[in-house]
Amino acid sequence: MTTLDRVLNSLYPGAEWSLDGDTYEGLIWHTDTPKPTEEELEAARETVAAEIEAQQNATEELKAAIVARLGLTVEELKLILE
Amino acid sequence: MATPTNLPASFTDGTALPAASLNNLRGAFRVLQVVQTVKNSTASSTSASQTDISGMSVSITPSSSSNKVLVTVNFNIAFDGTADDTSYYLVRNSTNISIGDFGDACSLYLRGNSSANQTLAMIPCSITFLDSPATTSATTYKLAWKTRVGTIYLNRRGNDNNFVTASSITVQEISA
Repeated sequence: MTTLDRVLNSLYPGAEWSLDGDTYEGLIWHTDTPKPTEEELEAARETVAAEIEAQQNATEELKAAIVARLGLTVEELKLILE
Repeated sequence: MATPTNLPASFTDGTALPAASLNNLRGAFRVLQVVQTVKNSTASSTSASQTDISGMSVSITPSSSSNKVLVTVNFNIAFDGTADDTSYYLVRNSTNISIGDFGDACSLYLRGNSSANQTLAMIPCSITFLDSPATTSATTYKLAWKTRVGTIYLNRRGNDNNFVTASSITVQEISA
């Protein structure tokens, strides 16, 4: 599960909305396109959460590959960036 | 107006205060009423146009049109990984107050750096303004916001809602 704002940003990138809390009742749709339905958004929560996790894993793997290519440890990189 | 430090240390029956002392005494009661709204839930927005933040408003009815209203807003803001230019507005009814006089005028401006690093932080913000509403009608003060790109958050960080804070808007009627 993830928060509704991330579902909205995943399904409707670039759309303008305001959200009070994390439920459909708090959603105000500022974009000209039709407001998404509650069912659509709730159904997408788990899918989007999986996508976010996959994206985070991919980012971590990419970081690890870059660090390995540089031949430095993460601690050594942090030391340089401080 | 003077503070009441010049008043007699104590009073006895029949004491008649001179005008200067009465004015000092009046100065001790300048805060006539205090009203506060606390929002302890989250809000978020991607709106590039100024939009009211739900739950961040408070109404007060001044007892005299010459009185002032001291407005204090404390709020916590966060960004997603793409937000950069974000603006915040103190609004009286439908009029922006405490704003700049040039450019994209606002009450408070925050700049995100459009990076994933900023999604884990919250920024404590405050706006304090002594307003002269010149009315005895019910007056609503509220906080509004907008973001050029990305998502802005109130009372939570951008990454998730694991840490939820409270924000408040307080108004005090100050006698003239």
